Amino acid sequence: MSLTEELKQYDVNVAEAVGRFMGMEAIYEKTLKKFPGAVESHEVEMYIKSGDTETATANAHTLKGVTGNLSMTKLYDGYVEIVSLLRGGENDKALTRLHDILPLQKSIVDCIKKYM
Amino acid sequence: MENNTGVEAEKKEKKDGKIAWTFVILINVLIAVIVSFAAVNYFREQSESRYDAAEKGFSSTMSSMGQVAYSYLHTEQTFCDNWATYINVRSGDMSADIACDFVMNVNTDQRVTSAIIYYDTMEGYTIGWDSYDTVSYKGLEDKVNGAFEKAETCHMENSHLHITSPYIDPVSGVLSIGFCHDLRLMDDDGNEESAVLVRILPVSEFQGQWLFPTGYEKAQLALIDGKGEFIVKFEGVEQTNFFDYISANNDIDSETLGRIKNNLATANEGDMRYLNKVNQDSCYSFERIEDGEEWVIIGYIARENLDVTPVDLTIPTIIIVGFILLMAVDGIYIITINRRLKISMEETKFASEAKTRFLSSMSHDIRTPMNAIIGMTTIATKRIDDKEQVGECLNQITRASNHLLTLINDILDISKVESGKLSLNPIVFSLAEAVGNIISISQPHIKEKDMEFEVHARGVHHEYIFADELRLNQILINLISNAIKYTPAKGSVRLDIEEQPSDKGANMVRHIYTISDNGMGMSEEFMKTMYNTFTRDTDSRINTIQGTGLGLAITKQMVDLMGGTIDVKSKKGEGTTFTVTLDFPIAEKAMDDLVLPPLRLLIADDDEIFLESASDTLKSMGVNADVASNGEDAVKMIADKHVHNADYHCVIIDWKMPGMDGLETVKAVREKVGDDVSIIIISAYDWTDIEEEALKAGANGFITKPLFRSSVYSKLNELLAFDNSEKPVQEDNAEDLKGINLLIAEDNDINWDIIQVMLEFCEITCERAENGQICVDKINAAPEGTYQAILMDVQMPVMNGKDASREIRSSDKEYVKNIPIIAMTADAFAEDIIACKEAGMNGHVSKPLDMKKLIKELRAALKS
Repeated sequence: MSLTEELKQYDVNVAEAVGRFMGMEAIYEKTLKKFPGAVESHEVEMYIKSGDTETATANAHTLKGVTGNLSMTKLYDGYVEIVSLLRGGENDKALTRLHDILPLQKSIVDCIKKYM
Repeated sequence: MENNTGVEAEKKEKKDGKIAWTFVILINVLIAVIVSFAAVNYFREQSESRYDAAEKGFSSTMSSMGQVAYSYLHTEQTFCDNWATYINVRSGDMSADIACDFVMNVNTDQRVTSAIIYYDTMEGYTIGWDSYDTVSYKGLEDKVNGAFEKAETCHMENSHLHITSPYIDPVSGVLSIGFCHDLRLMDDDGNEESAVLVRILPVSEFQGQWLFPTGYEKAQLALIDGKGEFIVKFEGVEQTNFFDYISANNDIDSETLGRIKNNLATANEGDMRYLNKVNQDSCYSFERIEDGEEWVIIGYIARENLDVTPVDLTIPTIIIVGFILLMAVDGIYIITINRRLKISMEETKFASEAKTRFLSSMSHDIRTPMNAIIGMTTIATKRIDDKEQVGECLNQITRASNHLLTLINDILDISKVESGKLSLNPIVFSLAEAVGNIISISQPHIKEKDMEFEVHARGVHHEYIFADELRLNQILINLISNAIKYTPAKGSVRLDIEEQPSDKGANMVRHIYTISDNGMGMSEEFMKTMYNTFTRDTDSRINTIQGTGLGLAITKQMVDLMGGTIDVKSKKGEGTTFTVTLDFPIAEKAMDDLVLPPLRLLIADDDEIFLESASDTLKSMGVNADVASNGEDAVKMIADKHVHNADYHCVIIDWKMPGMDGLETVKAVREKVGDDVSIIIISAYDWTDIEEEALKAGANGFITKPLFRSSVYSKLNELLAFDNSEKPVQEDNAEDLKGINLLIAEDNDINWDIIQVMLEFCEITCERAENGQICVDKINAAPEGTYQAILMDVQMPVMNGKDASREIRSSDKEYVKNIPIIAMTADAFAEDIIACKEAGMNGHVSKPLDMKKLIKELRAALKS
């Protein structure tokens, strides 16, 4: 099973994403491999817990854009909500929502790392 | 030569196989025959030995019967001897009368009569149950004399049998035998007279004395004398002599008969095998009667009447039948296995040969574009300063690379299909757009070969379907490109799309795609295996055409995967028609709202089918269009309407028509009616070549066949503006943006990768600035005209997009101050967009990025 095939089980709309890469699946896969790094460098949970809402929002915003561009649909929906909640000052709810999607994010990151 | 050798070897192999096969069958049959023969023989021998045993039993029984006969005769003789002894010894001199009374008194057996016969006169008395009378034995001498003489000479010796031959008793007239004993009587004068006492017994009484034991009930018995004369006959025998009886019923010579006579005369007992009077094989057994005047008792029984327990053939029959069945079943099984193995071997052989052919073909197919790439690269390197030449080389490299990519994609596809990894990714898409793309992809090849290309859509009410667009495109492009490839120049290719109700559900629709050509067609032999991988028809013309032999295999697999069917009709030299039938879920987006206002429309085309389908399409949108089958008629009809002040709102004219073609018709219309009528040129061909000329002649627009509801609605609305909604823009065509250079402010690598790929695809070049500050620095440092626009991420480290935009807008340089800036952000709220505009940005695209929206924004920003 290829990376793109495997990712489908994690609600990644591969067809849409490959379309965004003008059908060039290889480049899509290459870009996907940058995702674990993007996740690591945009920590959200720690900043919410420490009360640094601004950084948490900025990082969640970045991940929202990245997951949207990579068509990680479920993850993207999660970050859309998290950004919205953080901007509304509802940090607890944002943290709860983050905890909802973190297992999925971990699965996707692990899956991608297998192919790195 | 190699082929001939191969054929010879194959023939020899087949011949050897047949010989081996025939040999195996013969051996099997031989074994079956030998086993069956041995079994039958064994059981026949068993049966014979049982008959032989029964015969021996019969022979033994006959020996006992001889004893019984002797005992009986001896008993009768004893009666006679006792009576005679009493007359001769105890009573002294007894007259004939007294002797007669005596015999009459002592006889207690009513079957028995007696006689006293004088030797000298052969006359005497017959003694009945209660009287006696005179009797004469004259004339019976040959029957009785033997016994009389024996009785006379041996009168002192009792216990010997003295029995007459069977004779007709002169008193009773019944065939009888007599037991004799010598008598001495006194006459009236006191003289002694010699006579013989005869105890007479009917032969019939005598015959009834023998009863055969169980098992021999059907046996028959006879008693013969030394001459073979029957004393007692077998039942129903006419002959009076046993030897005559044997001769009459058996084909034997005198020598054999002599042996039989000798045997019976000398042997005390014996057995023979001869036929009886009804031609049954019978066993005859004889026993000489002791002291019986050379009498022989003979019994016979037909062998078939012998009580023989038949050999039980049930189990052996079951075994033999089972054995034969086993051989048959094994044989059939082996034949089936052999056939399967043969098929498997042929398939393997075929696959192996196909792969060899494929590899050979592939190596050629890969080498050709690779050679082009290497060759063109070498030329470009050598002439690096000749921009035009380098450009041409790069174009050729691009074409060769694309071909190579197609080839590799085909291989990957078939590999995915064969490993079951190919899956569908259905999306909602417009069939009209998909078909348009397919047509535009096919156009260069159609044009290159100067072919006729027709596309018809009939009754397509559901243009938006939920399916895997990529795979559907692949199916149609494969079939169309095959049709183009295998049709000679100036031939014709046609695509028909028809919608029908689906039987798979109310929310489903059936699309039938028919791709037909008048090309070289396919052989029936090839059609049997055409969907197999790596197969191509064998034809000298085909060998010169590029192809991997994978296209049809992939197409078939895709159709199967989509739950559809693919049918083909083809005739060598006449062309091919593929029909693909697919059922799709109807997408929510319906075309029912595409209703035209009451327009006066005319369609001019020489293709009657197109006229019919286009009329149907327009009718379904609320307009009854007029039709003209040629340019001349169209011009007349348009002029006529004009005269009556009822101009057509729009006329749709085919580009290629016999006689007056589309361009000529447009010119003629403009001459007759001026600009009062909108004219659309319709064609399945690439109309870019004639675009300028057509516009100059007076055409207002172009539309591509087939006539889909959406495309005709859109074009008519564009020209006649009956719908107030925004005019459609060619959002996916970035031809006008080709060659521009953009500055991209984006801190995130992933987002940068995507935007870069998207822009490169549209042949737009770009440079990256990792944050707002770098962006400001780069634009300030760049010579005027370096960048045509900036794509600005909003949230960035060091300096965000909004601050960077403000810096840029506050620049002293006119070029920098006025450069279009488009925001890229994951925020799509109205306030975000307003904030971007307030910072000096001209447009906004949201993440995830959408190509069409990006092009639209770029186009709008550059125009402003």
